[in-house]
Amino acid sequence: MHSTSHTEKNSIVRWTEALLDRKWLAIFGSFLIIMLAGFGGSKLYFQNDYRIFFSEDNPQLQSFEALQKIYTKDDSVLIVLHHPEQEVFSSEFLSAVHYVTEESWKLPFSTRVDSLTNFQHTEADGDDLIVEDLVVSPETLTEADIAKVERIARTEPLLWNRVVSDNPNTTGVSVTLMLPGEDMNESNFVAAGARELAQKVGELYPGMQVKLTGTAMLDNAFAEASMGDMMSLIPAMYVLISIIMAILLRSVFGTIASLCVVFFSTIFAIGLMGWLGWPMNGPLTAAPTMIMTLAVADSIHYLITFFQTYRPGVTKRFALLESMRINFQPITITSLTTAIGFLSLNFSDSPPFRTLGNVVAIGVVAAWLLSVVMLPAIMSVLPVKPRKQGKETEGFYGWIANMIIRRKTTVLMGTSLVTLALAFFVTRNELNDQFVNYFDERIEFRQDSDFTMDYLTGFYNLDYDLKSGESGGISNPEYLAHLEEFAEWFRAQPEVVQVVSLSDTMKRLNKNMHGDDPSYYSLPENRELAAQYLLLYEMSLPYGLDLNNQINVDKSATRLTVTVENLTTNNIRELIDRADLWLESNAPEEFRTLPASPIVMFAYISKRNVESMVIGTFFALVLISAILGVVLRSFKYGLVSLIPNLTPAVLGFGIWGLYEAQIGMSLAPVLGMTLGIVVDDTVHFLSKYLRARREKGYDAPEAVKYAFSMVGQAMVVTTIILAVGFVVLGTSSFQLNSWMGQLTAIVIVSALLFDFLFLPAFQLIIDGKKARSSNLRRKLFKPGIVGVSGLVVLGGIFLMTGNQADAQDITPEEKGLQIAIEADLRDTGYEDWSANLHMVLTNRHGQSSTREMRFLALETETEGDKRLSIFDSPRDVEGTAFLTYTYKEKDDDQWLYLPALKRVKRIASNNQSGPFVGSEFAYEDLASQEVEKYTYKYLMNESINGVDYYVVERYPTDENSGYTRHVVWIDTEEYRTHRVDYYDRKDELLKTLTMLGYQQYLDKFWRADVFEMVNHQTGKATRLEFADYQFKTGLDDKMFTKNALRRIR
Amino acid sequence: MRASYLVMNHHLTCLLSTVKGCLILLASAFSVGAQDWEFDLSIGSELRFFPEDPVDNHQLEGVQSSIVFDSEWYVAFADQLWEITANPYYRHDFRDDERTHFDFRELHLSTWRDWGLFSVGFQRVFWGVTESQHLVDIINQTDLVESPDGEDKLGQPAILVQLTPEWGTLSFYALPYFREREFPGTEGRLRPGLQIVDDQTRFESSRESSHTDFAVRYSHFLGNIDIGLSYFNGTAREPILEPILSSESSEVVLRAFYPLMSQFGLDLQITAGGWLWKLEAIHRTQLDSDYAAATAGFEYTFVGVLGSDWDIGSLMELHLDSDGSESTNVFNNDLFVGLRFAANDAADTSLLIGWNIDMRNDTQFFRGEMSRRVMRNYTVDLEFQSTTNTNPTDPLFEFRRDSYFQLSLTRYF
Repeated sequence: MHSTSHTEKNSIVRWTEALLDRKWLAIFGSFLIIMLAGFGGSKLYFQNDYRIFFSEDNPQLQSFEALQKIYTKDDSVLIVLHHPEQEVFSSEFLSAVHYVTEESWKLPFSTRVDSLTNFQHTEADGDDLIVEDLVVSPETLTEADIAKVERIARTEPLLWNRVVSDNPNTTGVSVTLMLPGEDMNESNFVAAGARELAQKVGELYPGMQVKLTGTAMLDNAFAEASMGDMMSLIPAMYVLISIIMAILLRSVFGTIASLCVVFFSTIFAIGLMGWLGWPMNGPLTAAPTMIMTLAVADSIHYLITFFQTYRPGVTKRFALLESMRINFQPITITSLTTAIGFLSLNFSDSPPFRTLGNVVAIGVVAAWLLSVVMLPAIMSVLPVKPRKQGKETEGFYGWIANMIIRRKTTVLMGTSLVTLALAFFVTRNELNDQFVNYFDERIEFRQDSDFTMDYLTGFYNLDYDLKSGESGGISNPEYLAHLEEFAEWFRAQPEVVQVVSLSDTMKRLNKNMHGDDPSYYSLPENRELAAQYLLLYEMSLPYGLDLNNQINVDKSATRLTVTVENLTTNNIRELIDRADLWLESNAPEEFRTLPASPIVMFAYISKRNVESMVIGTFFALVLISAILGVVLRSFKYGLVSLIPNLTPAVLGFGIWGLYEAQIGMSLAPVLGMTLGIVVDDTVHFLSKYLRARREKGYDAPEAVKYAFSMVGQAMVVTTIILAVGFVVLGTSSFQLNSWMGQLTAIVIVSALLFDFLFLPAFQLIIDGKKARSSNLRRKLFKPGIVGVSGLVVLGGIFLMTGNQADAQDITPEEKGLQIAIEADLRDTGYEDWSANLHMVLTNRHGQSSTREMRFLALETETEGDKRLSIFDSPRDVEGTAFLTYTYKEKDDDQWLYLPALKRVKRIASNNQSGPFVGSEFAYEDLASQEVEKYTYKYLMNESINGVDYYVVERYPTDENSGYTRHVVWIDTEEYRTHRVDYYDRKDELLKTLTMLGYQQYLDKFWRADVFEMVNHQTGKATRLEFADYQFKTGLDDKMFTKNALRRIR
Repeated sequence: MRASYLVMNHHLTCLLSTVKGCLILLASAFSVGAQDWEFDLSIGSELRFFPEDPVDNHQLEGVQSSIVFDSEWYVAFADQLWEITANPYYRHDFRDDERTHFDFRELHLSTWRDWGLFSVGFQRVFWGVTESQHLVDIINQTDLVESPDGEDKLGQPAILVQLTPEWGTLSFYALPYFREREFPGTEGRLRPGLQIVDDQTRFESSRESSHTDFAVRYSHFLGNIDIGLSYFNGTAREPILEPILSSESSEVVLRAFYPLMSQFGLDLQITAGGWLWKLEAIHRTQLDSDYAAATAGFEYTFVGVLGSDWDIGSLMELHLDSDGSESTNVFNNDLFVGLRFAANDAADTSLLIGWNIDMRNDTQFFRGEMSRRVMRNYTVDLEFQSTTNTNPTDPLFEFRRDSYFQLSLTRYF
């Protein structure tokens, strides 16, 4: 349908000819590159910690981690026992609980087990306080004993609605874990252990049902659900793609060729992800499905045109060239805009979505490359036969075009009304991230967690770190009174299931200490009493059941844990706000705080994601509109295109509001993603419409008909393929992915309908009365396209490299780290220092040259030093200056000032291992030695000439470092570094640094006068002689700026 | 020939050491009451060799030699709040009179305060990030007689106020006097085939070179992004060369016409590990027409290549402008590829080579610069430039026979 009589050969055709002449090279070259990239797949690793959804600077994550540092870690498994016929308070059931409690200590990383049987019950015995397990030996319990246990359990706030509940057949055993965070599979080990235990319980206690939940099981569910997705969705995709291709192309070989493109694009993107060290995780499992879908859309256009052109009497080569001539530009533009849409995910607040966007964008680019390089080459090799002309199926599109032309006003008004109505429903959507609901009912974790919430207790907690403001202040009656009031306030809230508060323990102890007199179930009256109770109680608690999970080390704060019902995160935010209001008006300032916990983190994530994605989408929109403006060669149509590009998202979220009405964190990225996809329809339609107006001189109705006949079918075909692909994703059992798939499919279909109805009607109305467009603007503006695409690719790559911060877990060995921290502390507080520096470089023949420079450093509060080095000699580099901002955990910022050009240049930050001005000192050797830049290992103490040294090994955390390790000699007295051995990347001794002539300044800061570095491998040496050390001279922050470099001399 | 050249250089340096001594005395005499002063001087000698015959037979052939005196004088006074910087520069060329010239690269009185900088006098200002072309850099006039690469600039009389609040740097420039571009003279190479006459220069502004230009620039850096936005309104730095009949010889010659213009500029650099991503873009309105141009590219540095101390940087920059093939700019639709080498040795040996191709008409040029310190106070610089495959529609066509090698030796005092 596209074939025209253009005989001039444009560059695309020339290029394709050259490609077809080297078809085997193209096929094997692509194959080789794909395989090289795909090999990276073996480096992939799986991340299943729920914390990955939060960026490092997420405030809720930070406060949660702070809380975990103060109290014990919160990773847990909750083992829920349920027997349909037995009651909990029976000898048989209790022995099962006892068995599970004992066995749970053996689970991997288990640090604490809390259950009905090992609850530390307190009782008065005369003046003594007896603390012991509530159930010691379940087998020997009498009826009366059991009744007593039940009475205690029902009245004890620490147990009720937590370990036991209204449901008489259910109880829980809570296991606290300390995951070291060294291995990605830790939570899988725990889950496996817990399941094994569950199985044993089932065998030993017939009829007993065991449900497993808790954060460790959550992590494990992320892994299992993702794996399940990969196993079921990807094969389903291949089957569907093959069917669709076979129907559309009616060619076996065509189907095979496009499957190659699809398969290789996915392999390339996933493999590259492995090479880049990006982790695999839940949302990333959507990437293959997405890439496959988008890759099909690329190849199908090429193949459809090819088969339409390749008829008897036409050479295959001509058909291959012609199809490329017609499709190159559309395929390129659509791939470009799609990639931009996905790259906008880099603005997301959740790192997994950033990676998803980047991986899919890589896949889209790979699919584009393969479609224009490998696909024609493969088709030229495969034995395809020419076909007779089939029946044109333009009847339908002609009918639509005519209908719209006749009733343009009705169509326009109708679509506008529908759009407005749906826009109204957008507001019905509510942000909700109940993470249990991320898994659908097919997943065991979801079933077990739902069961737990129905029968036992809530799954979502709010943890408050409530401070008294003084050491030991938690015994202060006033503090306890506030704590009590706050706990009671929470208990009065309808959505609260349970509250754990130290005030309850205090009340119980007070009662015990008064001979178990119930009238003394109140807070102790004075501070000493409270402190004594606490001490007495703590002394009596067995190992592993101490109060560290409730009280901080210096007893200045306690943790209050509130368990809530299965609330939406909206309701949770509302509860938090209410609690904050209460604290503001009823509690002292130091007491007031915001809660932290996984659900609190999830409660704010969608909001943050929506906010960040709005910015990201805006950038993508500006870029895409600019590209459209260039492609359509019209500023006006660049603007007009905003309507069909934005409206589908409104329609999609509107329909979503009618149907699901809940928005999780994975839906914010849909904005940017779909923008890049729906824009394709707009490009196809508007470009054909404009071509008809400009080149053929058609009027608006004729142009609409022309556009429909030219691209109607292509648009429908693409939409069907994309919708089917995303619907497949929509069937995922992992709700984040399934919602993303469903909403994207809705948006894509809405886009087609909108572009078929509203857009032509709109064109007819705005262009209807005007004269025909002239041919003046025909001149192609190709450099513009090239330029814009170039910038976009640059921008895209920047987004990828800039934001792909990978979190590395550091496992410092305690002592080495302690020494480093001590040394750092002793050198903290100098504010600023400066010195003159004489550098002597000596080569292996003993010839030397010198350099003079001045060195200034400014201490900062939160990060590393700001440093300035200014050269005085040799004279030809006089006035050259380096400005460095040192950071603890990211690359330093560095600027170089070239006085001859008056130019300040920002320089690459990967040069740490490079030599500083030709010396034996690398940049990293002279940089400020922040504690965070290394991990440590203490080796031994060594005594040399009567001086004691710690010998510590440290390992640079920066991957650009030139070293595997340093061995450092630090004196035990003043923590000064005296010698450093540097080992190169092959772990061979490279250099030794010796520091001599230490002097103390301002009674605190030690500085060496001489630094001598000897390179053992080259025999070269560099000696730094420092003079005129000055501290706290009041150097101004403004001196350490880019601008001030101009002033330097 | 080279030996005698070095001998001459030696004599000169002896002479000039004496001169420097006198100047230092003079400087210290002037800076009575000053707390800080400095005086630097460098003297260079340069040999340029053109292997090809010139286009115009007025132009010199073979070797062109010259001497450069570059000195910097600095004095701070009034509690170091105020300072005067002077950078007189003189080149004596033995073959091209136009290339013999004196200039104050800098001569200004400045004060640095908490709020920023105030400065008045001849300034040298650099804006931008890219390497092969400096689109955004507009304040100073290019000193084309120095080198065809456009890196050398004439001092610009200016009043500068620079504010440095937390959120960036804001600079305001008032430029009361305009300096015409210096072109090589009749004998000089590296000029258009037609001679450029400098006594018939035309201006759009009735105030001619006294038109006051204004410029403002905002720059900042955020994480790994360095960004600058600038606006300039005034006399174009780049003249339009108009062919006219010479009144003396009735030959066709060129005269410079400087229109008024306004220009918005953007420069952006993103630093990510070893990658530097760069973009400069301008939009200019001049003589009622719009013009836009952009340079975008990257530089990637391999640190410690093959376990050595060497750094090798690779550069690529793409140039585009809206005039396309009618553009008078060399970099209208070009691709520049370069290689930067730093040996990181005691002599600071460095090498920069670049290749540029016009993607529309295939005109290409190569350029290389090498520099190394010898002994303690000398540097040797080698430079070459060559154009090939020059298309008559390309501005570089005028330089098609002007490939050259250049050797210079500079002594720093």
